[in-house]
Amino acid sequence: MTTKPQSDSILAQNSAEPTNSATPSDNAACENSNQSASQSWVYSDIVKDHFLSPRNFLMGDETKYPHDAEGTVGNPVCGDQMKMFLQIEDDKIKDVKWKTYGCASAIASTSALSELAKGKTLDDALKIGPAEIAEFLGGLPAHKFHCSVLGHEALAAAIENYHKQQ
Amino acid sequence: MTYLDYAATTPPLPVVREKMLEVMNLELGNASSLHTPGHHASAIIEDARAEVARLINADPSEIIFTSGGSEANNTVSNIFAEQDVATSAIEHPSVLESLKTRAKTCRIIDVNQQGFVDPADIPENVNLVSVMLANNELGSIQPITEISKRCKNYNTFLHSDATQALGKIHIDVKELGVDYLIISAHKIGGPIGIGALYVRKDAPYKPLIIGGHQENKRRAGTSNTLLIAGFGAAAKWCWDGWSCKQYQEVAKLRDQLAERILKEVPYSSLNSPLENCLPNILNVSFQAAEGESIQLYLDAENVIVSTGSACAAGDIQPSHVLMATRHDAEVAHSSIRFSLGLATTQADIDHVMTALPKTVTRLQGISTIKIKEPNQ
Repeated sequence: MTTKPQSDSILAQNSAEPTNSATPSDNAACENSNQSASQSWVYSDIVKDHFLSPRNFLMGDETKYPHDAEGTVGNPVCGDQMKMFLQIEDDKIKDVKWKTYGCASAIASTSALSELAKGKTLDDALKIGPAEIAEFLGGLPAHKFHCSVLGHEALAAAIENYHKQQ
Repeated sequence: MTYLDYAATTPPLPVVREKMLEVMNLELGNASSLHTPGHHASAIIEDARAEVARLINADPSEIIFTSGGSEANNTVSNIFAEQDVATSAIEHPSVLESLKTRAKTCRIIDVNQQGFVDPADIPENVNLVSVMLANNELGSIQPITEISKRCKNYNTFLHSDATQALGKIHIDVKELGVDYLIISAHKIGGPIGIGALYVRKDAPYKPLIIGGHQENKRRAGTSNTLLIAGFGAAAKWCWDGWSCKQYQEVAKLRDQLAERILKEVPYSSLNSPLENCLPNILNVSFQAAEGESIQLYLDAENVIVSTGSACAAGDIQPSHVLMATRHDAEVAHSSIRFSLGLATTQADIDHVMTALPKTVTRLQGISTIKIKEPNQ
């Protein structure tokens, strides 16, 4: 199995170039237009990479990761649940970690989102929508698009919880 | 590659490839034609029909070739359209959905936690009961002989989907006492796209596909000589090679896999019964680790398994079979089906056990779900 990558992997910078340049919209992300018969998985190579070598995941006991806010969405009964943990400094996301129970696209969506959110101000992070996550991943199959929605909601929940605490 | 998804489909046997190549190289006509090339095609089909019939102890005249198990199941449900039927909660969707769609009323018979129908639960006052011979996700073999006794007492017709059981356990339609039984070629090393429906002589019948006299006016459409020949070759191979006996060796590997998973993979639990179970199927749930992720991590290590049934891939609903037995969506979402074949070796089991424990442990480590220690 691929060994656990470093949390601050630069891999994402290189591999995460969107493979189609369609304007970000839910439809474009759902079309999954980068798929080809030669691709061995139903998912794009970027999804596969973020699934097999996820970035910024939190392994084991979450209380060992000091964080300023957390947000949970989804339900294991529905097949996926995501939890985002944020370290926040001066209204900026200094560091992100996450936990996910779910399918490959759920894991890849949280991994991608963690890369997109890191370093952003809270206001900018809230603007990372499902379509942007899906596009970053090179598209998601239509029936898996909800994974990017969940990712967006998990981050939004964490930020909302942070504001409530202040 | 370690392929443990034989229940989804089984690669064609060498004898099947040879037979199909041989048939493709012949000068054959339409099997319905009276001329010589047509007659040759017809003779190939009738030979195959005899092989398929022998494997389940039917008369060749009781065998109707179809495009596969789903068409055969739909044919049976269509015979009982607008009538009262009952079927188990763990049937293949081609039984469940087609009966629910066509029947006047469709009663669902519950199963126990191991995935067995209790014959005492077979209702009276229905026209048809449909219970599969063995379940595709769990492997549980249903007490069809007992069920058929009740059906006879109640004057109810009995249908059984034997797709997964064929070639793995002995099937005798007369001993089972069924009126209808369906089988499919590609689960026994035959080609995809061909199946058969057994209809007991004198049982009610109505064709699903009309507009031709083929299959003794019971299924219209040009006879698929090539695929039927492949099915016949696979059936002959099962009969000549005592495949059911060979599967007893597969059962030993399956039992070993079950034992090692329980011992070496944390928080695992069996969904399959190990008794009264097909020799090749093992369904397991892993707490806090989602099935598709396990499947794809294993795929990356060349271990091929499935989540529930292959038909459910692309479907985000939890398996209706596991919901009927375990009644817990989280358990159902966290399941994997291993299905072994005659080519499975000890090395394959070792390969699975190299990849599986670390995969599950890793997914449990990043999971939002807190592990619950099993109750004593």
